[in-house]
Amino acid sequence: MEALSRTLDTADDPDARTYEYSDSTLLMRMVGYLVAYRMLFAIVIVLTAAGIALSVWTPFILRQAIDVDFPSGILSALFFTAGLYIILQIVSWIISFGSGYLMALMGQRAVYDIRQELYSHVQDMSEEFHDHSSSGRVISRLTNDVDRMSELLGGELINTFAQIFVVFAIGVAMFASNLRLALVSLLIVPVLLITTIYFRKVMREAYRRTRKTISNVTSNLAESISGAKVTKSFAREQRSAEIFTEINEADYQSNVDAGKAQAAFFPVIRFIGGLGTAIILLFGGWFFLNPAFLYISDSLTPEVTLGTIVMFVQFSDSFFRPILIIANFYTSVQSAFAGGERVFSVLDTESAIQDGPDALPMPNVEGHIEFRNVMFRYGDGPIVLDDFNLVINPGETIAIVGDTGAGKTTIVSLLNRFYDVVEGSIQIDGIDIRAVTQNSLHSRIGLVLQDAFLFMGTIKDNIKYGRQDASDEEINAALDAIGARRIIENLEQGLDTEVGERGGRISEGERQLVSFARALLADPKILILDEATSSIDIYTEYAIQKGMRVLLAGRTSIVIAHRLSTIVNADRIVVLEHGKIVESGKHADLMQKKGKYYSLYELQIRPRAIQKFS
Amino acid sequence: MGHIRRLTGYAMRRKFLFFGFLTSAAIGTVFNLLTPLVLIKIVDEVIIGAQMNLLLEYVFLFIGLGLLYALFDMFGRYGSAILSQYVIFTLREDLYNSLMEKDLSFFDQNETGQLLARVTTDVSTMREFLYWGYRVLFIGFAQLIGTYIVMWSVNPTLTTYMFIWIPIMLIFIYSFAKKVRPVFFSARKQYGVLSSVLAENVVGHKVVRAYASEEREALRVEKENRAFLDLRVYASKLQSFFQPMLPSLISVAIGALIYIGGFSYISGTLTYGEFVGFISMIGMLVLPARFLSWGIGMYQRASASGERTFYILDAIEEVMNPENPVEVTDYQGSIDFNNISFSYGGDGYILRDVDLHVKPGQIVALLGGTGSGKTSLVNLIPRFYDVDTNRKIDYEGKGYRVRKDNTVLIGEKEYKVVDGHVEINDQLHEVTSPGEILIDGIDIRQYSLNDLRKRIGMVHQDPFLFSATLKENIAFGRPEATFEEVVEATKAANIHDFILTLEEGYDSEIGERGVTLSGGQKQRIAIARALLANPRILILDDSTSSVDAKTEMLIQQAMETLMQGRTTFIITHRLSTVRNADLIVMMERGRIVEQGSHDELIAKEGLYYNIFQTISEMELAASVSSDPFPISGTEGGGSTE
Repeated sequence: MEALSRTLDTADDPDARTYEYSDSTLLMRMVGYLVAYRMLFAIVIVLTAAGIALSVWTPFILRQAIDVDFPSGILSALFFTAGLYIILQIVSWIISFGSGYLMALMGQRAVYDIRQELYSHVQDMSEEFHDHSSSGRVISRLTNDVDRMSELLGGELINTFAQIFVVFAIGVAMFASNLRLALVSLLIVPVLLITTIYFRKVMREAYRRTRKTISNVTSNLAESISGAKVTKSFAREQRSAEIFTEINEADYQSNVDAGKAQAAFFPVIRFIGGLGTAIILLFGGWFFLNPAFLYISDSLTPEVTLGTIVMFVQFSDSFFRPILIIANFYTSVQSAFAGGERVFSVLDTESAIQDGPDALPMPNVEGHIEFRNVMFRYGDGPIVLDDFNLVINPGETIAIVGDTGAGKTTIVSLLNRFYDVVEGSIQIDGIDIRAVTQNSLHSRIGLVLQDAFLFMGTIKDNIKYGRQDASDEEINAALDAIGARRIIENLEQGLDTEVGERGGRISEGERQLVSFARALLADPKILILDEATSSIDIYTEYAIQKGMRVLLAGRTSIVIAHRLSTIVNADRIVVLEHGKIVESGKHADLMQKKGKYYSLYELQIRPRAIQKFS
Repeated sequence: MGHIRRLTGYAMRRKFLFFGFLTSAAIGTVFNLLTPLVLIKIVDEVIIGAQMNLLLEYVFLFIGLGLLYALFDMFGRYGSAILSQYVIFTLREDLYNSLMEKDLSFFDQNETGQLLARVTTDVSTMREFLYWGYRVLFIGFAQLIGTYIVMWSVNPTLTTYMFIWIPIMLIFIYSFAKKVRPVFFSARKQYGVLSSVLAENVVGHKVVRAYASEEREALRVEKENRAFLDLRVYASKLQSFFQPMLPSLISVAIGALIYIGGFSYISGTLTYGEFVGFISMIGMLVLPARFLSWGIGMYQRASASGERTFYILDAIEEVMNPENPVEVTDYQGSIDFNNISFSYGGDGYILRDVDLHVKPGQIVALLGGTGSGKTSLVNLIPRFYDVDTNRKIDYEGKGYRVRKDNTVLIGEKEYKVVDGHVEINDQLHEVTSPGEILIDGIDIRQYSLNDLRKRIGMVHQDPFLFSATLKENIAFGRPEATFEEVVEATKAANIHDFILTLEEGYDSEIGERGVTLSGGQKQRIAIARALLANPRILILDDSTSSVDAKTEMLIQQAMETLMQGRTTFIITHRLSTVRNADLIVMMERGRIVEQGSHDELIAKEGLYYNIFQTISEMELAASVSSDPFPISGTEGGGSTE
């Protein structure tokens, strides 16, 4: 399902914009990452300018050859001109290699920087952020969205800006060399612009429609593959196939429609470019044969030579490409903007929890925990804990029980400082947890979650996660202690078994056991255990229970408890109701009281235990 | 390569369109190639020859050729757009149908995400090739040859000089393709690595934090990010080196032309117009060079994509519909597993020698740890997989398959089957025939798949619902059901009241854009879905659920309603269900280790008895209230037999 939701995530329109940031803000911010590499940036600009100068110079050499060297018949002069032309081309190739490479270097570094910045930002974000955003989306910010900026930063941006100067430089060169011909040559520019803009608009509309139909196809396929078993078991293949055909046909139709505009665009633009050449030929020929036409003076309207006409044809060719690129720029950066917008929006979300300026590392602790007059609510939500007080002595095991929504998870989240209390304080060995760095706080507290998360790598890597220097003996001892050694050794490659992505290659029970061993090896003074209610077969369940007892021994432990044995064996049971402690004490005492615990026990804990073999 | 040929086969289904767009593109190219000739005329006849009267005529000819080129090019593009879209449409249909026919082992062996990529991304790559590839490769060759022909017709000597650019360009294209592609490929691979490390960090952020491993993880991310950066920069470097090389080569050729052309002009063998025409024609060589390298790249990508996509079409489906299925009007619901074994494609056994006989209407509870084979067992009933069809022998407690050539491989040695026996170390071992599964006494492979599956209902602990309305989901197995029937089913499944609380009731959409359902709600909807389909045989997977007591009770009730009067296989840890079953089957490593009713198994004092004892002891240990537990201990068994 995880894989599916990720694919669906990307099937969502990735180019959609929220317009939370304006185009110029986005552009400036991205440029900021490039400008950070001042030296590189400066070199790239110089190289680009040199490249433009060379490209404008080249047609002049051609004119020189045609107008001067050919008629003169001096071979050495011709040789010199041709040689200069060739050298210029080689230099220009070196320049474009250099600037292309440096631009990519700068751009890719910028992308690297953005990704690093985003990653450490996400890592620093409080749990509140993670609770409120689907992991699929956060992942896609870090991967696809950052990558969307890669082309823009890696050259497209600077290249496009350079085109403006190319157009400008050619314009200047044209006017400087021949005013009359320049004026007529530029006639075609507005036509080119208007046509491009028109086509862009039509194509964008068509593209939008195809994006919608293809996303329908993708999500139908995703669902059909994931739900194949259900479809088969109800023998519904035929009906499902009919539905797919409909969706597939709609996609075909919208793409064929879009194909019309797409097919026409480039040929039409190229034809307009050809018209430009035709105009130069027409007027060039006219001026050549009628030098008096529109003549003002020799300096203002110099003679139109054959070389000039050829030069202008070349100019007009190199004029039309930049305009196309500039016109395309807006569309082609939309994807980068969409990605940038989402990335920056995460970067601009401040973490609700930060280390204080004078936060110290947490010293070694005994494990004395105190919640003092704690009040808490999530954002503006209803109050979850109100005037909550709880003292836990070193080495004590506390089982927290209560209905869903009673605040059990909140208590452990607060202790880990995944959220900050609104009022009151939490102290460990008398130290307010806000006074120490989060990192050191976490290294003193072990957390075993209901849904055991493993990292790619071997079982051994995962067990060592909290203590890299652990030896094989220590690992085996930890596995022995929780009674899991045999289970792990029974796997085909034992400790060296690859667990796969998120531990998917081993069973849930095995994952749970590995996470116990991991916690045991890290050996924290304080342990928080969010007990699984589910998902394990009976055999593993027994193994886990034994493991848990070992894990809890000798530590201050808080267990969000569901299992009968955990609850019964706890040093103290704390019964929560609407964020308040309504009862606490040992199982036997609480049973005799016949209060809230008694009814919880009778109605939920015991029936579940009986039914579920736990 | 074969994959492209196969793709072309699809395109050839519309021959007219295929050859039509290629012809159109070719005609366009001819017009394009003629324009330099007009240019030569304009320079030589109009400008140098001072024939003003011809100017307008030639300019119009120039524009006319440009217009015709544009038109035919446009037709070529549009035609290939239609054709590529048609091929993709057909291919997707084929893929979809093929996926629907696959047996489940195919889905076990191929991740959803990967399959999806094959039918989406890879298909798009092929579309790109269909749209551009043929045209670009064809035009590339046509224009390359055409340009030389036109050049030759204008000035053979100069053309000979220009000829040397062909090998240079070809070498260029080849070396570019060879150098750059693997770098891009490894960059993409590294991107995958980086993505999965990042994904892990996001999904596992709590663990990272809990073990205060932020720094270590950050280093890991940085390392992968850095490796990606380096590869990308290297790829860009190669690209920056090669990409401007082609236009530069052409420009160098123009430089050479200035000298050679100038020399020819001075010696009187070349006119101004021809010189200008040659510059324009050399410019035309850029296009084929670029098209060919681009086309080759596309060809290779499409071929790789084709391989991945056609894999789906070619994967052999193991479960086959019988040619002459047995006609059935109604099933009774008796099921017999006659000594069956099962393995994925001949690897190690998942199930071995399972012998199990179930009467109509019986409830069978399957117990066993992970990997015990209980899920595989029930998946054989609707033929999501088929039982092994090999004969086999038992030797030293292990089973060995008899291969098609009538031999058995044990260790390194091969033995021959003689008269239904194999002789190993002077001992005869009997060959046993492959097992079979019978429903109402008939091998399930003789029913049509449709008939068989329609009569089997399945409810999973984490059921899959489609993003459609609740009503559509419930009527999934019987789309023609009336609304009253739907409501009847939901009422029986204890989910009707909940649905009414939703704003849009039965028309509520499920999924990303609609209502999110809890596990317990999904399960009850799945129960309603099964109820409506009204199967004779039921398979319930109820091994887990983390729901509160009230929901649990609602599910339990719904399940009981569902099981009434149906042959039921239930995978469960729910004690009460187990005790009420007619037959309890304990499985371990693909074998049945114990079977019988609750009372029988308790009397046997085996594995089941032991587990039951442990639970009872735990119950007693926890028992401090004055009331003794009503169902602890071994008495009061709920067997219905």
